[in-house]
Amino acid sequence: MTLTPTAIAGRRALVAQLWDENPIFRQVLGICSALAVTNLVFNTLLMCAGLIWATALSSATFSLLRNYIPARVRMIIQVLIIAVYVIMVDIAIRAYYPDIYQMIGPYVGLIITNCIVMGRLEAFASKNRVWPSALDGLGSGLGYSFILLSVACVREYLGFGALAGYKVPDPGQLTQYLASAGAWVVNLFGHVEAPQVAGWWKAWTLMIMPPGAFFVLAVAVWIARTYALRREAAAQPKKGGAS
Amino acid sequence: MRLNTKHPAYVIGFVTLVSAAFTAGIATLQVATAARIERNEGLRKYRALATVFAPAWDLKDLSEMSDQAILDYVNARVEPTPSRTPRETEEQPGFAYRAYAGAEHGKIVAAAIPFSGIGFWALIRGFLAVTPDFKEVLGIVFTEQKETPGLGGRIMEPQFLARFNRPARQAEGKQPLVAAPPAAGASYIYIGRGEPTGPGDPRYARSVDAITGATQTSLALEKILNQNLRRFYAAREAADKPAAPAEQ
Repeated sequence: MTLTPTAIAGRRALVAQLWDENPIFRQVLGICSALAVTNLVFNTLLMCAGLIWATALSSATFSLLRNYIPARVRMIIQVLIIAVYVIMVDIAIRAYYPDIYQMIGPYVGLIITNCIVMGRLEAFASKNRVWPSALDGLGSGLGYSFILLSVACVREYLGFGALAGYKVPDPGQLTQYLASAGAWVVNLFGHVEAPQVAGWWKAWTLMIMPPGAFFVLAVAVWIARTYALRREAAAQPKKGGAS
Repeated sequence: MRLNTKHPAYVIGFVTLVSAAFTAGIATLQVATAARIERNEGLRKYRALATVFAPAWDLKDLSEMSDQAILDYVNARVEPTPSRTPRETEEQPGFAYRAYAGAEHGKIVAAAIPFSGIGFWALIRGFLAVTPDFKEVLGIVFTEQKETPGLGGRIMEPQFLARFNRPARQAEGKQPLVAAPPAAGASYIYIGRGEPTGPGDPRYARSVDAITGATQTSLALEKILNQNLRRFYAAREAADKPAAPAEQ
């Protein structure tokens, strides 16, 4: 199957936003919401879904109108388009998921001010056709979500000992399992009591507070950038040698 | 024909047209969902009243009751307090919902005092259930809050709500919270101000633990509850006083 140039451009934009131009760790955009919502996986998931919707559709809409938008009011139109899609999400959640609205209502409106959305409109949708723009928006939303969900998993686990609200064994209990397994192996040859070590771990409150977000996000960005830079260095042609 | 997108008339016309089109879209969606949103908000209040009166009604699991069942149950057993003022609303000082044991409105089993005030970020609204004599707290429920999810937002969690719940406190060997007016200078409720030392301590049977990491929300909630209870009991006291004889 031969892909059209538009489809190729769209696919390239989608993949680039997922990793090579990831909005969080390469462009350092959308950090405010990344810090605010990542103490619970469920809230993060909903925020990400709202952002993916807003970024993809506002990119497509702005691209559709790009040739008719006067340059001097383009930013006003961008904000208007983004606000419309975000308000649609807000109304839909209020109407159909009122319990969820109680939890994340304050954050939905904040998507309007997320710099990723406006950044993609200005950098990509204003110069490209509708389909690649929609995929670029979708990719940047997914790239943002990938990092945010990773951060949220770490924060909720260390802060609450849970993932998406479900209790999971905390590091203390995991150590206890290891100690019990070790004692079981030793008991094949002799006799030893498994040490009681589960109590050493206490919920790490700092992780669910704003400073925890700074630490975990910084570590996530550090790991992702180190990996990305190594990959790029490996892909570079080696200097020197026979010419 | 090529459009002159720089012409002021075009700019004004374009912005007006686009704004009108998008606003119409949003307005349509808003109108289409208005009834549903209003119903959700009404239902939230009924579900909150059912939750806060559950210990008095001995209701075990509300999650198994349908929305309509809750509406019917609460409608049959709850009514606003007999009118003390001509225009009675939840914002009126002295207003409370009265819960009857059954649909025949015989024995009163509890009352719910509405409260509202500004939390750390935004409005916190809810009901504090008390015994029919308004002396002890039965439980608390929040109908609106926008505190930080995972921190102040944890006021919605069962663990925090249980700190006000009379059966839960009794199961832990704690005194039920007292709702009646305190001694002069003391507060109705203390949140996170340390364990009371004994019956002589003004915090005795009036103290609940705060949420770790949510000091500002805990302080705001303490202030909201105290302000609302103070206003409520003052209004009741004023209404109970015999009216002064009219001057001749």
